[in-house]
Amino acid sequence: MRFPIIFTTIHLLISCCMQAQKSELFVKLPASINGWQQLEEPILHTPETLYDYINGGAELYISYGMQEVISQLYIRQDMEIRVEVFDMGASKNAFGVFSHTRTVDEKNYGQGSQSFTGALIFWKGKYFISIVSNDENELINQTIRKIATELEEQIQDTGPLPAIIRFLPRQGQVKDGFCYFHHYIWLNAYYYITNDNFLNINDQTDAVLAKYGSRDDRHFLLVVQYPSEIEAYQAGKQFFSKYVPQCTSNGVERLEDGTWAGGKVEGSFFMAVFNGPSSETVKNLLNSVISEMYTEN
Amino acid sequence: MKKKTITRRQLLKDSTVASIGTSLFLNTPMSLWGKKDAPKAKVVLIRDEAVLDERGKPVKSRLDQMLNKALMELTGKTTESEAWKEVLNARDILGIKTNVWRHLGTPEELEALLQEKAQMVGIPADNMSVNDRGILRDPVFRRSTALINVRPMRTHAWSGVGSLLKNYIMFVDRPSDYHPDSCADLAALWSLPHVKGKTRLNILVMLTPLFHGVGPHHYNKKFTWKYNGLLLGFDPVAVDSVGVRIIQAQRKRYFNEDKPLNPPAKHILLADTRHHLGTANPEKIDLVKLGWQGDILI
Repeated sequence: MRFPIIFTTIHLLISCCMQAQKSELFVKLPASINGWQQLEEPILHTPETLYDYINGGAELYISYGMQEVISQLYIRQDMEIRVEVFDMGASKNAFGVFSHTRTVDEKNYGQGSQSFTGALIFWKGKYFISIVSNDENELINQTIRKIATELEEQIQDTGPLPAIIRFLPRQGQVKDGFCYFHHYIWLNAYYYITNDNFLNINDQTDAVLAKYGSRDDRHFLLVVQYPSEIEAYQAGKQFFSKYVPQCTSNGVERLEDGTWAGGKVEGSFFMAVFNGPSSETVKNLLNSVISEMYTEN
Repeated sequence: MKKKTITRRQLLKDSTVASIGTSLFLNTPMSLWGKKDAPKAKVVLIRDEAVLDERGKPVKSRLDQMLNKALMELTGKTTESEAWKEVLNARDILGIKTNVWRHLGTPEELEALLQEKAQMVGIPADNMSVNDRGILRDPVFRRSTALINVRPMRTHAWSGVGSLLKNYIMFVDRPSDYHPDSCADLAALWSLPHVKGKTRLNILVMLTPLFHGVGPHHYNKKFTWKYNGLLLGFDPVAVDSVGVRIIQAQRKRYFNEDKPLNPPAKHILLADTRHHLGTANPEKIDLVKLGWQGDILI
């Protein structure tokens, strides 16, 4: 058994080197920064090897179209900072994975950022960046900020937000309370809707889930854009038969818990409102989305 | 196996899944549905306000007391020795399935205690092993007759939570085979020939659970808290179900609003409704709470 293991290891190493050569990831992580040293050469991971690196956590990035990631560990005494630069293939995916994680967009780095205890995430162009330490003190925070600034300068191109975001009505929307995705697992990001993919959300669809209202009357808007009108129609049909089978002609129904839900199909779009405090709230929000669609931006 | 769509609407309408789903997905404390007379799975929650020292490390002697007291309650035995003999016997070949996740692994003090208990029952040292990622190559695990499943509770970026059901994913060569549909069918691991029927005890470590994750490694110490507890049970689904409810309650407390697990831990519901491994239904769980009651959240 020894020969195949050695062979596989060599094969993997060769593959990694080839991938590194082919990689479009151009970021140059400095050998030292603020007194911190690189512990090893930067390591390149692809979707195939990411499981070995972050195991189940890999699926989140793969679900957003991750192409490759470069990781680098910096050390100083017993402190460490790990830097990861994800090439997400497109800016909408980089934003998507950021929107999945952030609770507040502080906008201090790149096109959007958030700091946590001993950590910082931001996105710019097609890149999502994570800088995480195993501790927190002023030296660490200062170094994290320096690394972020360095990377932000290296990534010169910005990228557009997902187009579907602009259809979210501003009125009543919770600040930074929306998440872009194109994998059905994230349909339940804010509110449990379903355990499966009856709306047929996939890599060919764009979807956004957004929070509206105050904490006491929190409701959720889902907008999905399909490649064709027939697919949007089919999604609507599924929704109306499985979720609100006795809805009114307006597509709205009162649920057993007293909340209101409703949906609408408009061209290649399907949209739905969940947990509405009233029928009017649901109808108005759905109509507002349609108004946004026909508003020149 | 037929897969069933479970929308929120169905949870509100269908009493067969409502009890489980409302507690796991909708974050409601208890539903009005469910059979009151069904046999219940016993889960013991024990907490000790002083189990962690000033550095946050478990104090072994206090952990020992918690473990013994909880097991006596779970088994209905009046002494430590009787309780452990209810779970293990001297002829057992014991695999202790731990978890070595570097940010929040099973405490080594707890691993050591479990080995001491096994020795007390009469299991020789060479017939027991503590392992995680190497269990398929571990000679003790390969010939094991008994397993103890022990790991900390944490949220997980893809399966909602990493808890007892998920801890057995290392019993297969390719864990990613169990990733589809956000790890929906993790309970199937428990039917593998080298796993089925061997688990004698499940311990979900709730000393400093992780209730939210950020970044690629899904860890930030800020999102752990000192809960100072252990959950013990024979039914892993029931124990996980209780653990999830505590995590949900902490998320609600911390974020000051309902913040459901993302994604939901549906593998726990499906372990009950699809795989029939145990019960996730709060009404079918006899939860016994021992020790410190402050901020118990359940």
